[in-house]
Amino acid sequence: MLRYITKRLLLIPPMLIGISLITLLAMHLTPGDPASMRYGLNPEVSGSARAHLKELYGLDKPVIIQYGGWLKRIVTLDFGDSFIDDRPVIEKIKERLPATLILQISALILIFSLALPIGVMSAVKQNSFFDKATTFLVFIGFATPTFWLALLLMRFFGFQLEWLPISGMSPWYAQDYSLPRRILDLLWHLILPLFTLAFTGLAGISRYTRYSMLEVIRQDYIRTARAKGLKENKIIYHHALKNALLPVITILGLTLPALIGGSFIFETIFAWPGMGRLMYTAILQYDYPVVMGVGIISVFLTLIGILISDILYAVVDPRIRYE
Amino acid sequence: MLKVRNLKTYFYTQRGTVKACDDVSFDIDHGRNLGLVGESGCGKSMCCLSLLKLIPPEGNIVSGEVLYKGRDIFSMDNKELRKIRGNKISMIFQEPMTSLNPVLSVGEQMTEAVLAHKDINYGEAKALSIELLNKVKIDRPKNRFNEYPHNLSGGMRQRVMIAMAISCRPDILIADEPTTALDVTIQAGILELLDELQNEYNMSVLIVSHDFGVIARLADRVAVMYAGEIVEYAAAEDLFKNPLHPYTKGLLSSIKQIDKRDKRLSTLKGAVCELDNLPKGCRFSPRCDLASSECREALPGLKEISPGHFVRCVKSG
Repeated sequence: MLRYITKRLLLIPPMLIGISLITLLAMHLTPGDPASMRYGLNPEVSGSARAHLKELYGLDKPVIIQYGGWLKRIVTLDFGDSFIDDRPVIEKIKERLPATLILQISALILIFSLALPIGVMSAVKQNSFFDKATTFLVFIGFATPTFWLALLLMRFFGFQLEWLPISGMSPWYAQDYSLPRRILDLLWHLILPLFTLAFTGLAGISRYTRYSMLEVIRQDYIRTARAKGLKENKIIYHHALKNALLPVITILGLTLPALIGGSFIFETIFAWPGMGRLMYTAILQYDYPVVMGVGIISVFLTLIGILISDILYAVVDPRIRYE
Repeated sequence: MLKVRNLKTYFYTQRGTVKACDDVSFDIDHGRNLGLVGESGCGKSMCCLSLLKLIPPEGNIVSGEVLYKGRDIFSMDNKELRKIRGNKISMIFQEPMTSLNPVLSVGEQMTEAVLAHKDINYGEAKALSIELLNKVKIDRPKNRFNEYPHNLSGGMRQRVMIAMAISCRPDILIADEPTTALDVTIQAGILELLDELQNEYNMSVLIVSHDFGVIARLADRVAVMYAGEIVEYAAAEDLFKNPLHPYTKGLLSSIKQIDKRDKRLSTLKGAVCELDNLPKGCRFSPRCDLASSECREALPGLKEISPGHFVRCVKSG
């Protein structure tokens, strides 16, 4: 088990290097640069001033040297300062990361706690009304564009009924609230984005669970469990589900990148102050240090997430533990 | 102790009705072993699974009754049925490689079987399981208790299955082709173990096989099955000495005998008829050398030719 975890931990640094290098190259391949972004349309800024700015940011050197410099700083956890407002990148990320994590982790918990029972029930009662109804519903959710559903919900619950806030995470005056009130306020703001994420994301996990359960409940060892005289609930939720979870855990690992990186479009629509929006703005402004910083943190957290799913995998399946 | 009467288990498929068990009746007496023999696909397994209502959801037990100590298993509710399964009547299967749950330890699978039926605590269940593992001749039973099925060989897994099946001291053990998937040397060991346990626990074993060698080793009475029907049913000695049905004769003569070295191995011609496309009249008639026009018309019933020896054949008796 320890060897298994160490092996996976050792894979993280090379992946970080690869992904950050690709991010930097991609940024440099896009037309334009930070200097022209800032002063490009200003005729009073001379060419030499622009060159001076480039030199200041180290943008006059070859890309690979720039990358080397960035890498040297990053190992000391120095993420650099933003080109736009000169604030440390790490601070900007610190402000944004909790919002993304709160939203995405609660969405993930909600999705799993709904999708697993739905998947199990519709497999056990295959072709029943419940199975058909949930199949219909989760596919509606799967086929619905997130942004479109978000806009519809905002219009109905936000504007027409005025029940729920349409955007943001907490209003500016919320800092005066007591802690319980602030939590309630946050939950209130979470309802719409959470529902949107859960409804559109339910299909994957529930369908995989259903498919996987259908396969498992036909296995010989399920018949053995029945022949032993075990209760049906124990057979389904212990003997069968533990086997059926294996492919679902793989899916969990694959869902994590979107989860931590946040979603550009989603966070922009709901004005959710998360990583996705930070990244989106930074890309538009050629703010290389922020893009690199957000990128590397997202990738790092994603890799940690995948590591967790790998460990979960080993917890569930003894055959992997002894590999 | 167990009386099976007119059991009919059908599968309704798009191609038609598959009659896996058609009007099957037999008795299992206390402490006596019954052998159920027939070619692959003749309905032996479905017949066994029907006894405990373990057939796959596509199957239907159309009619018949299974009386255990006078009570009909088919009319029991789920709770009563659970009290029979694994407790009074337990079962081991053909495929030891897939019959144990891969993600649960041997110990957990064994103790839960005991705990489901007996009013004992986990410590006692664990001690009993280790004792049983020892009894089925698994080395280092204490270590094996914590291991997972993938650490065990096929023969050992079947031994674990047997230990699990006898853990509640059942009256009847249904052994569905328990040695088919194993090497010949391991087969002998498993059969010996079943024989020993049967004597020690004084239980009845329903041994199912396509192999007369296995049947001869354990069975007191034998039922020969062909295409979902029992075609001959007799005491083992009687059947081996004096087979009456042409099918039984064919099966017995297709066993290679070492002392008749030069003789060509005799085989039954043709293949088992498809259970969803049965011939008219006697089901064995298309493969039978003795078949006449009468055989292709009449549906023979099971007749008692001599005391306790039943045959389903127009030509006999």
